[in-house]
Amino acid sequence: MKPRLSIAIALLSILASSASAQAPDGEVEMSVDRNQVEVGGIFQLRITATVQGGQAQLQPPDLAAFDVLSRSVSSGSVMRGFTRESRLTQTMQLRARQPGAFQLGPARIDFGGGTTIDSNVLQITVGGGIQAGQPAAQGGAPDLPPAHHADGMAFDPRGFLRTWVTDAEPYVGQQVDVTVYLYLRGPLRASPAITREATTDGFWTRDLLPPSRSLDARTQTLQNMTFQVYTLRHVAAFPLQAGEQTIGAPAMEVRNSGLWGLLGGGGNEPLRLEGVPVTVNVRPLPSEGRPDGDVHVGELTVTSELDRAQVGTGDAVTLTVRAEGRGAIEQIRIPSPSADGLRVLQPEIRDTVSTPGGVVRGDRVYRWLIVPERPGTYTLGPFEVPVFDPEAERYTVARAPALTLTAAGNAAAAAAEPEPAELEAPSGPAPDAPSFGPIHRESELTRSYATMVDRGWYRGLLALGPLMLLLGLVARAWRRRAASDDPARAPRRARKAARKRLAEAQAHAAGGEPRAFYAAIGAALKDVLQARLGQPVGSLTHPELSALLTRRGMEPELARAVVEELEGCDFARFSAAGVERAEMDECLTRARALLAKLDRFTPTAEDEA
Amino acid sequence: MRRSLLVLALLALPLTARADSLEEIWDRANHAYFQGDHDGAADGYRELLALGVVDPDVAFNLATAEARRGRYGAAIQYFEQALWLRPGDEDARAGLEAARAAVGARRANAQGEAEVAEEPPLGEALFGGTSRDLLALLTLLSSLGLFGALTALLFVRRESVRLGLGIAAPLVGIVLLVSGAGMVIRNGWLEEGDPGVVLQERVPLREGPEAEASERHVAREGQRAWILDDGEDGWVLVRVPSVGEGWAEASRIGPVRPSGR
Repeated sequence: MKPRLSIAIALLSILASSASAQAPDGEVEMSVDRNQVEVGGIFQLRITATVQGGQAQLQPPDLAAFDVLSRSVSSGSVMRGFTRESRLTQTMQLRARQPGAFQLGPARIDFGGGTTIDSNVLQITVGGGIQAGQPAAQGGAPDLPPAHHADGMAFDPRGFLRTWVTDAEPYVGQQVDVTVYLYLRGPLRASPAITREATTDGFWTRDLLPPSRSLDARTQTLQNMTFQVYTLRHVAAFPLQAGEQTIGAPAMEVRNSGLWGLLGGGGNEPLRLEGVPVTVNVRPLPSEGRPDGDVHVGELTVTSELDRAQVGTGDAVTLTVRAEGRGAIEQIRIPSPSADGLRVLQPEIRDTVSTPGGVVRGDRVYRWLIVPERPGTYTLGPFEVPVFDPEAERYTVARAPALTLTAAGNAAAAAAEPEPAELEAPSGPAPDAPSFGPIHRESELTRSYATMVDRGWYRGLLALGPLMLLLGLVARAWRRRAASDDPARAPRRARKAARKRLAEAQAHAAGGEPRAFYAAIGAALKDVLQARLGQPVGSLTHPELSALLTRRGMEPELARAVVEELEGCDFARFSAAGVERAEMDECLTRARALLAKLDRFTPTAEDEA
Repeated sequence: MRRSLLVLALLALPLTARADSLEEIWDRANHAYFQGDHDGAADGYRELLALGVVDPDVAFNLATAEARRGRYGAAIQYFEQALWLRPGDEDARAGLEAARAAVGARRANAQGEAEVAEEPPLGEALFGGTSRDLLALLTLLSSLGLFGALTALLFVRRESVRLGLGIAAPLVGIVLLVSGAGMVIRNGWLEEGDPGVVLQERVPLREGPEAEASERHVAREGQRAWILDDGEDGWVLVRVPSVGEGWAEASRIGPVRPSGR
C-alpha cells in the first residue's frame, strides 16, 4: 500500500507544481504616432502592457505638459498553457500645451511588493504654434449664452439645465457648438451626476472639452436672479442630414448648498434637473452651382505628392494626398487613382484633428502604394474635393494638380494577385490606425461545423466505458453466485487449490522451511475434505473429524490415515526443529496418495448417515 | 462497369458544381477586398455564409472586411466566430483585440473617455483556446481508460497489475474530470443563452419587444450580449453583462455562433 500511495502523491505533486502560478512577468511599451507637433497639435500615445501570471497595475507616464483629450482602454485576457496572460492597451489623444522638448515616460506596470517593469521613454518636441494669429487650443469653457434668450431651458429659480446651440439653422455638415450648462443658485457641493446625456443622433460630434477638467463657476443674471453657471458639455456637432434634428434633453442630479439648501428645502435630497430638447433646423446645401460628388463643408486645401516621379517597372511608389482645413475632416473621401497598367493598393488613411479655439480642424492623409506594371508615363489626379463655405454660401473646389509618374524598364511579370502582407502594410502599420488583416487566401469553405461530440457514434463510445464496468460487475456477481450455487464444482476447485498448496509445500521443503511445509500439507488435506463433505472441518478435533468421515461413508482405514496425517502435520509444525528433507519428501508422497484416494471418495448425505 | 462509372460521374456532378461556385464567390470577395472594395468583399463573404458555409477563414475575412469598413461590432462578432470555429487562431485573436481597441478609440474620440474590457470567465479562459474535438477525444479516451481500469480491477488477481491499475485509475479520472469540464464549457452547455455581440454604438434594451416599449438600458457596440430568447417579429431578449437585460432589435445583435447552434 505504501508504494502505491507514494507514487500517487509524487504524480499529484508533479501535476500540482506544473499547474501552480508562475512568478508574474510582463512587458510594457509606449509609442506615439509622431514625435514633433506644434502647440495645440494633437498626437496619439499608445501604451501596451502584457502581464503573465499575476495582477498588476498600469501607471501611465506623467502627462502634465499635455491636455488629455481622450482616453480609451481596451483589455482582455487569454490562457497560455497554465498561465493567464492579460493585455491592456491604453490609447490617449494628447494636445501639446506649450513649446519645448518633453520626455514622456516611462510608463510602469506595478506587480506590488516593489516589483515593477518600466517601458521605453519617448521624446516629444513641441513647436511654436499652429498658425500665427490663431488662438491656441484652449480647454476652457465657451462663452455663456445671452441672458435675454430663454431658449433651451425650463427656468427654475432653484436651478436648471440649459442646452445652447450656436446656430439653430446650420447647413448639412456645418459645425455648430452644442453646450449644456448647469445653472444653480449656489455653488456645487459635490460632482453632479448626469443621469441622461443630451443625445446627438443625426450629428457627427467631437468633444471640445478635455475629459479631465475642473468645474469652474461663472455668474450670470437671469430674470433678476444671479446664478452660478457650470459648463457640463461642449461639443462640436456636424449635422449629417437636412431637416429637423433634435438634441435630446439631458437630465442630472445635483446637491445644491445654496439658498434652497439653507432654507431646508430638500435637505440632503438631490436636486433632480431635467433639460429640454432643442430642435435644429438643418438646411440642405444649396443646389445652385453644386458640384458633383461629396461636398465638404468648411474650408479645405488639398495637396498631393509622389515620393519618386520615376521608377522601374514593378517598383512601388507612394502617393500622398493631404486634405487640410476646417470642418468634419474625418468624413472626407478621396477616390483612389486608377490607370491602365498601374496597380494601386488600398490606401492607408491617417487623421489628425484638433480643436483650436473651439473650431474643429485638422488633416486627413491618404497614402497609396502604386506599382507600375508596364513602362510608360502615367498621370495621377488631379485630386479634387468640392467644398461649401457656409459663411460665404458658395461652392469652390479644393484641387491638387495632377502628378506624372514615369515607369521605365520591361513589363513586370503577369499581374499576379498581390501578396496580402504587401497589401496590408504598404509602409508599415500606422501607429494610430487599427491594424487589420491580412485576410486569409485559402479556405476549405467548410459547410459543416459538426464536431466529434455531435456525432452519434461518439455518444455510443462514451457510454461504452460505464457499460463495460456495469457488465464487469454483473459478470463478477454472476460468477460468484454460480460458484456458490454449484456444489459439484467445489471439489474441482478444491483439488486445484490443493495441487497449488502441494506445490507450495514442495517449495517450502526445498527451502528448508518445515513449518510452512507442514502447514501447507494440512491446509491441502482440509480444503479437499471440506469440499468433498460440503461442510467446514477446520474447527473439528481429530476424533470428531474421524467420526464425521466414518459417518459420511469413508472407509475407516482411509479416515484413520487422513486423521493421522493431519495429526502428524500439526505435531511437526510445532516441533519442526531437526526435521530432515527426506521426511518432508515422504510426507509429501503420502499426502499425494491420500488426495488421490479422497478424489475417489463420494460422501453420503448427512441425513443418510 | 461503364454504367457504374456513369452513375458515379452523375453523382459527383452537383458536388463539383457547388464547390466551383463557392470557390468563385470566395475568390470574388477576396479580389474585392484586395481592390479596397470592402463593402463588396463583405457582401461576398456574407453570401458564402448564406449558402451554409461555416468556415473560420470566411468568418475571419468577413471580420477583417467589416473592420475595414469601420463596423467594429460586426468585426468583433465574426472574429469571435472565427475563434469559436478555430480556437487558438492568433490572427483572429489579434484582429479581435484590434477591433476592441478601435471601438474604444472611436468612443473615446466622441466622448472623451472609453473603456472596453473583455475578461472571459475562468472556464472560458482555460479552455477557450482548446479545440472541441481535442477535448471530446480526451474525454472519450479517459472515460474508456478509467472504466477499463475499474473493470480490469474486478478480474485481475496479479498484485503488480492491480497496483498499476490502482494508480492509473485516479489519474485518468482527473483527466476525465478536466476534459469533461472543458467539453461542457466549450460547447456552452451551461450557458444561459447564445453569445452575441452588440453591433451598433447605441442599442436600447427595452421593456418589451416593440419600439414603443420604454428604454431600460443602453448597450454599446462590441459588448457581449447573451441572447436569452429569440422572440418574434425581429426582437430578442438579451442580457448584457454589467448593463442589464432587455429586448433589442435582432438586427442589432450579432450571434457569435453560426445559426442553429
